[in-house]
Amino acid sequence: MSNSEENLNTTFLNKNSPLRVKKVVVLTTAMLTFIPFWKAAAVVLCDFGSSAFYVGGIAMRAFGQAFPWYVIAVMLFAGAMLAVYTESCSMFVRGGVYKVVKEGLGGTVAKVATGAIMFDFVLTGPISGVSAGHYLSGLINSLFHHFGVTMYIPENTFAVCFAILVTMFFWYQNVKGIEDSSDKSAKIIIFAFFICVILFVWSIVTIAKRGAVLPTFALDFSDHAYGWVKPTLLQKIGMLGVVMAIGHSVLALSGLETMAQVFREIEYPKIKNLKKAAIIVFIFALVFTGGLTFLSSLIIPPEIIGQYSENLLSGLSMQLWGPQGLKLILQALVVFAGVIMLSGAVNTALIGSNGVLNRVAEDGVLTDWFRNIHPKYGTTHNIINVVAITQILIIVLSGGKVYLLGEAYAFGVLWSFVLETAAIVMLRFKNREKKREFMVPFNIKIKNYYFPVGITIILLILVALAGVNLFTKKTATITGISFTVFLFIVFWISEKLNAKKANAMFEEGHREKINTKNVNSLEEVLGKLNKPNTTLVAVKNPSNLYHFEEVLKTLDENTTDVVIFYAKPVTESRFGRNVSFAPTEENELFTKVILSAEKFGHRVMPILVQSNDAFYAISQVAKASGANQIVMGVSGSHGANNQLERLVMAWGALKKEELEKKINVRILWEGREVSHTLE
Amino acid sequence: MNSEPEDKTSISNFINTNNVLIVKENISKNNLIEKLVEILCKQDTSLDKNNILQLVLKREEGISTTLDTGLSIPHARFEGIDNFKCAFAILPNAALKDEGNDIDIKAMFLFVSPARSDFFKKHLNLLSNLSQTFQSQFISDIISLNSEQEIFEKIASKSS
Repeated sequence: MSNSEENLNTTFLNKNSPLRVKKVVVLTTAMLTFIPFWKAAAVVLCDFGSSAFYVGGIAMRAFGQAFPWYVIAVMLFAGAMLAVYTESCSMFVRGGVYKVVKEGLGGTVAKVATGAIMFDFVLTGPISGVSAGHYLSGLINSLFHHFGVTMYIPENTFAVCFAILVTMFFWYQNVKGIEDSSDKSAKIIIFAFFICVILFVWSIVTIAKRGAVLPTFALDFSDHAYGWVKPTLLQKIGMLGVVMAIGHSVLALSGLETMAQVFREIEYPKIKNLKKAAIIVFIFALVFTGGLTFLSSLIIPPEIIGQYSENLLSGLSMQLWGPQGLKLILQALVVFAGVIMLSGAVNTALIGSNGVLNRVAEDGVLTDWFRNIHPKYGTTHNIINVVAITQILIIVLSGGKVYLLGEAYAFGVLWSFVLETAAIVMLRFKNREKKREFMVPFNIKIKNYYFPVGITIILLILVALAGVNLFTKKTATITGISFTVFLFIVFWISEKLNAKKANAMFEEGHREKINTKNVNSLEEVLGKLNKPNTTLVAVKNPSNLYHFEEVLKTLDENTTDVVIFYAKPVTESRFGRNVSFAPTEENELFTKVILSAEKFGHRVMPILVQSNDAFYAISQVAKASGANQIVMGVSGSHGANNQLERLVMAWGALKKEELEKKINVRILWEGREVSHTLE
Repeated sequence: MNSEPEDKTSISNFINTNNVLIVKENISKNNLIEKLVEILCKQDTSLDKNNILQLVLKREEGISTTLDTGLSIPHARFEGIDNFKCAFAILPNAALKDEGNDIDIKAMFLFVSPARSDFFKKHLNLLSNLSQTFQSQFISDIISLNSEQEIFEKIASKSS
């Protein structure tokens, strides 16, 4: 007899019975673990914070030495956008620009918004990779110079090669379905913070030694920074220059969409933790992006700052006061931080674009070809392939020029922000009854309406920035509009081709990718439970998870483990003469379980057992887990009393000795509860 | 005298030699239920046999009352009584199959209980007690016995 058969025999007495548990499967989908607020902040910052490495240089080339003021202004504005994203997350656990815009402004506008955010993603990868390449080549050339090596690495070429390699690496990782870890993000951000502190302290010492002059407020636009706007117009409309300058700096806001992607992973209480994460993101970005950019302008002499436009923070480290050797070490640390953060942003761009297009595909807007699953890895590899190839093409076309990429950048992020914010404003009126845990501040209550003053001001600022950018950033406008229109046409054609299937998919709904692992016995998986209390929740009907959500509402995760359990019949079974039972498709069931768990951010352990008698299975799992509470939904065909009867019968048949603790059994349905204590 | 907890439902309190049946011939499940209902009604002539039988058969259409140990527990809740009324049968030849679960029924414990909501806990406790008492080995021991008296004594000793 094999070991697994022995284990089965030990656990399941009367193994020949058609009723008892035959097989145990644990669901190991990563979506059922949740992360604390500071890890969520780290995930966002790995993308959002990486713009610190290039935004200063791009802004400087656009409008001169006043760049740090405008980068700080944009970082302050990021606080407002974080509030907008927090409100959108309070409405949709699995939100993001497509979902929010679709609900607020309709499917057509949602496709336009998706095009815009996709443009942001396909540029984030190249700009991050190329920027990282510049930092690395800059360091290598610095080392060559220091050690008297006469070699020189052409920085643009190196940047292109490096960016392509990084993109290909993460392309492969994403096709294989290797999940990004929030632990890794946290370590990266902690390291980046450490570097930030060193730079700050050393900069203060340098300023104390040498003094510093505050950067000018005067704007000095380069020729191409005007776009289609005549320079003489600036003299007539002074504020236009300010808006233009902010518009050239707003690319620093790229990465905030990650907030919506990471929200589903945040632990209970979700909105409270999201707010904490948002505060951390805001402060870190202000200090890291805004602060370091500002210090660069103070420390690097104006006459040579232009040399560091592609690697500003390396320039900062090299121009500090102190021995050259130490500065080289610091430059190496800065470059290391930059390379890992920027490479992380390359990966986030791939993950984000895959996520956004999958959300669109779930609505049947993309043809089946896009949703094709890799035969070995189970990933939507066609989407990943298309995005990665597009990014590599962009890298090559850019020739390694960060500024060129920066020129095209910001179209996507700005227009996706405009549409998302507009959608939220619209939803204030459309869904005014819906209670939100958070609303962007400054609202005037008149009767039952909360007139959204604060968020409307944010929207107007965004519209102004986006509108001005349309005329001042030629490359962004031409490429951004072309890309968005192209993608819109692709969506439109796919949707037409998919018309019948789209309806079926809409009815079928989203299905989570469920990873499963067979285990030999209940004890093997339930032995891992270590909290004082265990609640076993039996689920069967995807449309009836009321009892599960009631458990989640009142759960104290510090003291109670929750096991979600489905007894799948091995064959069709009959309970009673005229009642037949159809097995539930477990993927649909556990997708709903995951959505409910995400809604509350509570960790649960989902298991699936095979058995022809759910009540025997419940009893066996309750016994093996040491549960002190069993919660079930009501059976529409049998009623709560009959369910309790069957459960006590199955329990009695399995019970061998007196229980150490009593088990409370609850059957819950809308507004009602029937309970009994098993002793 | 043993004092029992208020809700404790000892099986031996409801079994005597008059409501135990040994069935050696082939019989269908419904016919066996009918026989046990007859025995039950003989103990309390105020009970309407047809009424009880209909209630029990109706309950049998719901969630199964047969366990894989071979014990079947057809039952119903009935207004107008103030305590359990029971009847018990063994089938030494085990020729009776429960259609729903493909299980051989070796013993059948039929009972009716008061329909009052405050009695439901006792009702559940009896069901639990029956399943716990009539495990496979115990059923095998019982069906090897030859007389109602022996069966009663065996159950009484197990229940105490």
